[in-house]
Amino acid sequence: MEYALSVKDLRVSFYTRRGVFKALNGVNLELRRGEVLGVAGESGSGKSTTGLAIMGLLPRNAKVSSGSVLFDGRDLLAPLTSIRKFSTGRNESAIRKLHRELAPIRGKRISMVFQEPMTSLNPVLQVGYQIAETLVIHNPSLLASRKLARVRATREDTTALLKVIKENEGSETAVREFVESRHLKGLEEQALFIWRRNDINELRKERLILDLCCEKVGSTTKRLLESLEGGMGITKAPVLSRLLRRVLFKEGYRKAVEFLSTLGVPNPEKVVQMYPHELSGGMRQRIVIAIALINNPDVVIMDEPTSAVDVTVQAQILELVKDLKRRVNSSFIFISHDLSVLGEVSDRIAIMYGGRVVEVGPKEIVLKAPRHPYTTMLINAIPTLDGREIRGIEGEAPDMRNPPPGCIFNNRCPFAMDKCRKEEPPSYKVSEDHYVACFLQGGK
Amino acid sequence: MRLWIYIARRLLILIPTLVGLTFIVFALTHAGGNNLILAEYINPRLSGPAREEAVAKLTAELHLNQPIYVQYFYWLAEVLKGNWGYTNTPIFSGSVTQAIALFMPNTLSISLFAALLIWVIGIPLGVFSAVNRDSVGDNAVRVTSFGLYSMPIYLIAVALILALGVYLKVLPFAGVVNPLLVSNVPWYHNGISYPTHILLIDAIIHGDWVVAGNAFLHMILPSLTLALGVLAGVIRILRASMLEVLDQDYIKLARAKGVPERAVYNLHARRNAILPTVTFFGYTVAGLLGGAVVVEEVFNYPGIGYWTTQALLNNDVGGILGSTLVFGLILIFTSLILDIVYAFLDPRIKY
Amino acid sequence: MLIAARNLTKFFELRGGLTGKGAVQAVSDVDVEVREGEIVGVVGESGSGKSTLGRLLLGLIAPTSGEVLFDIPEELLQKYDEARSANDKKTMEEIASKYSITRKSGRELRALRRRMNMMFQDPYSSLNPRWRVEDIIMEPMVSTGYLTGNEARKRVRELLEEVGLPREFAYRYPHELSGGQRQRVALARSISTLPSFLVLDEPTSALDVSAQAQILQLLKRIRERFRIGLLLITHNIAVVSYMSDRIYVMYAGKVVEGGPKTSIISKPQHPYTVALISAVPGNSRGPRVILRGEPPNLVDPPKGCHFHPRCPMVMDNCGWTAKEVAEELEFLLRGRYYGMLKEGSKVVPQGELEILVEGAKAEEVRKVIEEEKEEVKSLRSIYEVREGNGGALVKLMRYDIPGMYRTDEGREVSCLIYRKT
Ligand SMILES: Nc1ncnc2c1ncn2[C@@H]1O[C@H](COP(=O)(O)OP(=O)(O)OP(=O)(O)O)[C@@H](O)[C@H]1O
Ligand SMILES: Nc1ncnc2c1ncn2[C@@H]1O[C@H](COP(=O)(O)OP(=O)(O)O)[C@@H](O)[C@H]1O
Ligand code: SF4
Ligand code: SF4
Ligand SMILES: [Mg+2]
Ligand SMILES: [Mg+2]
Repeated sequence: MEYALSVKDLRVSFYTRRGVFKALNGVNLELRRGEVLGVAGESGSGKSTTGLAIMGLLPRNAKVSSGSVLFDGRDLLAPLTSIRKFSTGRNESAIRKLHRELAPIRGKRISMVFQEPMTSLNPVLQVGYQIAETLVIHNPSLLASRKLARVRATREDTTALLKVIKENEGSETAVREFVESRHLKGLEEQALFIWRRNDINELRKERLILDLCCEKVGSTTKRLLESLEGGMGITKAPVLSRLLRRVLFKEGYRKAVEFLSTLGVPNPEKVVQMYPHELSGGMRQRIVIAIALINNPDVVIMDEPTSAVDVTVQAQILELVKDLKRRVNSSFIFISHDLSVLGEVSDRIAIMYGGRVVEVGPKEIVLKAPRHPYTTMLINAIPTLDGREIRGIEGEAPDMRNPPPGCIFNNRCPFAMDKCRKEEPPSYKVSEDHYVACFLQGGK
Repeated sequence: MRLWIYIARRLLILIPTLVGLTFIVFALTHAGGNNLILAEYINPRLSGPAREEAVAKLTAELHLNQPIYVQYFYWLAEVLKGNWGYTNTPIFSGSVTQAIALFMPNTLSISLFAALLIWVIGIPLGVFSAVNRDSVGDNAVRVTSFGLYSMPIYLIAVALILALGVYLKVLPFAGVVNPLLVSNVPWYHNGISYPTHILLIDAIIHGDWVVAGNAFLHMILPSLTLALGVLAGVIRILRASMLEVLDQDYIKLARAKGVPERAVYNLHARRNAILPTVTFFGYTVAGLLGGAVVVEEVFNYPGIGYWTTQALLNNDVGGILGSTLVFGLILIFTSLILDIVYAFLDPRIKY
Repeated sequence: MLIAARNLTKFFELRGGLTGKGAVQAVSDVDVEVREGEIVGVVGESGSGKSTLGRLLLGLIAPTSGEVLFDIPEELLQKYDEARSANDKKTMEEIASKYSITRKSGRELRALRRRMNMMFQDPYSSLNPRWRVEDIIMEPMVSTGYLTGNEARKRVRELLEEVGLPREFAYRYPHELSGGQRQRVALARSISTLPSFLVLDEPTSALDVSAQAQILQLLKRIRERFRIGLLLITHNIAVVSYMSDRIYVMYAGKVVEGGPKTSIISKPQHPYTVALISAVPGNSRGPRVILRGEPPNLVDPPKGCHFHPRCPMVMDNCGWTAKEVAEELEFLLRGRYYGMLKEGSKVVPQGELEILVEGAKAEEVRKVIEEEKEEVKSLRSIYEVREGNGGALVKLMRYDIPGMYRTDEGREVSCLIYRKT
């Protein structure tokens, strides 16, 4: 089976003044291509730590004692696991190395959305800048060809393009072929975006598409853009790179506007000029989602993207995620402590407890016929609209400085046996695709 | 634009503050009764009938027999006209405005030089210290800045004089220039250079590079002392706020979208970290002015601080009040400027 | 009746700049009731005024207008309501002067404080970190003069048991407790003086589902045992649906629907309630209604029905004003009907109910309106388009302000759809 990403036996501890907290104790997760994997569990069960570890964004007091994150045939966490004896200094330099190594991947092939929309955007930078930045860093040649396409295209080209669009009713392949035949790559997404807008009339659309031509740029800028398009990086020469960046950011804003409007942001032209504090929580979360998705990454990790927003906004965002799942071919890890939210968006659900995945399987099975005692109890604790009786889980989560030996749930599990206090239960396959880490499922 | 409206409004709010400041100075003048005022305004070299005539004229001019608030307005009118009274100290006697015109440029030049040093040393060091937190370099910066922070400014001055001036003999540490160099210069007499009263600039204007170089060397130690006194605070605040910023979610997001580390620090973190430091810079200016009094005294540098000390030592009412007014005005206007800078840097400020 | 609010209103004056900047209309003209031993849920989006309502009911902030009547006999409340509909100020005043909590002072107020209490959302900041659990729980008993120090100390042990904590916890500090345990301590404190009315502001929002389940069960038990009337404020509809007997739904400072839990959850009537309940994840009854846009700015809330800009059922008389309609018309004329509006011409609202479309012909504008009415609902409020001075003059009909309409047993809805003609 081919996975978009897989996490193997990940163990992470946090070194703090009050002791060493064992946050992850052997997490195994596989993310399939094109799926939404939901991750649930109570607070402190290690959901965010798992997400941060995949991104290589663990804080400096975190030690990765074993395990790997396999992506595209390489172990992303190799620099961290190579540290043998923990010290913050050593960890710090390993983390710096990790940032250097992963920067080209982050935001381009794997990206992440954080829980707090209020704090995850930079307060002193315009929203459009923050979106455009991701493009300028990872995809400057796309921006260059978009801009160059408008420079190269003649009125005759756009007239013909409009005809192609109209004849093929906006079919993507036809437009792409046409654009390639005329060496105007970069024009297709701009034209199709305009064509698909529904807030303006045909006449206006035609005008806008016809206007995608005959732009003028200075000869230096043009040369710079052409070398970028040809695969050279952004030049290092100070004045030139500044000039080029200005042009690229401007184009990035333009693409940001297009992208935001596909995410259902009203008035995107205005929104990109705003600062984060001028936007509501739901809108900011959309911006963060736009940043994560604009480069078409293979893997998107969403850490509680709806936990800090209202029910109605939550519904809007869940709708958006469902829609994205249909439209883009990324794979998603969707973290939430709310199982009913996961029920809405996921294909499979993994349940975490005490830094381990205790149950994972198809959504319907995990929610309707759970096999791990913790999952069952978790589901019974959730109030629902029909007002059925709920039951809390007795006892407290274990102290992760000193987790109980054996099954980590044994101090709260009503079925705990002697064996549970001595051995760690392995992951049993209970049915196709359904795995449970509990001795009750073994030997059957 | 909105920012202009904000500045205009901020200027309007300034009026009551200015009225307050001037009123306090006025009240101080009048606290000692009319004699003090006469002492302030009448050229002390007058005596006999000339003096009496002057007293009568002044009483009429300042309306000293009128109620106090009326007097205030007349006094204010005088102040606005530029009549700030007289000062009489060993280093200068004449009108207060003249004294200010003479001494201010020197203070300004060492303060600006110090501010520049703080800016170019303090910010990179603070950022460096936070980014390389707990490294050897960071520890060195922290220990040094803590040492400086806990040292009174005159100790710093004495230490620098001993080390660089007396022991290594690389820098001069008294006055603004070697007097031998300017003894025959036409644009310099009685310790005053013309036209700007800033020796360095005047020397450059007249193309006298030897004097310019020497004047510059004389500026280094006082400025450095002044800078070191304030620098420690700037580094500490910047390091702390940079560390706080580096822990924010938006830094995590910047990394999550693949921003290279250098840009994370320089673009995403630094501007946010500097914001609280801007406010701190307001205190810095106060610190610089307070420091200037000490530093100018120690280095015999004829600036406002030096003059103020002289005025204090000689019970020179005009000088004391004049420098109070000047210091007050400087503080008020720097806080205005900093507010505007802050509003400009931080989009969250509503204006 | 344990507590009844009538026409309760709270505007927070905004200060700033050289001149005032209006007021936040946090709660406007609200009627609510809580009976003895009843759990009443208040739901709504963030900023809809739930917490403000809670604080008003406890007299922690003074209302801008309206009354909070405490412990008022049913007959008198009825009399008050009758007087209100007859606009008989004198009788209203007479009753209010005796039962309104805002008119109490001194000893009476202290006695009242003992009878009502509040518990907050954040289990981390609502307990003084330097006090031990014992001192925290004792404080209200001593400060209201309910018990003396030693008696109170003894009572703390009983209360701890009541909320399911071991007695030794009396000597712990808050930072030594988990979130769920802190909320138990907070609960013990708020029931220490045996109040008859308790406001719970998001008591479980910061907790995990498992701890939440425990606290909710505990609350139910405490209600049974002490017959306390509870006002449960939360944005979690499932929690309210599990806990309450009756529910009030708030939107933009107003109660839009109130009534028995079962009927509201299974047959919501107000369009906002319908959307809210359909948005609960995992809810499979009926189609999901996704609301567009965002809650309004309460400094200048929408006219008429506060919900009209987002309402999927909105009608022509729900509160459309010239400003809103002009904006949509201009958007249409610059987008879909590009070319109709001449370069430099604008769509200008004139007063509340008239719009001038500069340089346009009435005939053309009328056609646009006819065509777009179906989709752009604000256009339905237009009843006339005429040639005017320098363009087409568009006239809007006068809007209505919805009152509270009784629809079925014990249910009231603030929506013009349910207005009986
Ligand atoms: N002291 C205050 N001064 C000014 N405005 C206030 C004040 N308290 C509340 N508001 C405003 O009143 C409105 C209602 O606030 P309230 O706290 O009652 O909302 P809520 O429904 O409890 O929201 P949440 O779910 O976020 O707790 C909001 O717009 C809020 O900003
Ligand atoms: N920076 C940190 N320092 C110390 N402990 C941490 C840190 N981050 C997380 N932890 C601990 O790691 C465990 C897992 O945390 P987390 O992954 O955030 O859980 P979740 O996202 O499931 O709520 C918790 O016990 C938490 O206290
Ligand atoms: S392994 Fe044992 S303790 Fe763990 S969940 Fe299963 S039965 Fe319970
Ligand atoms: S009155 Fe009813 S129909 Fe009209 S906007 Fe309000 S909720 Fe919608
Ligand atoms: Mg988390
Ligand atoms: Mg609230």
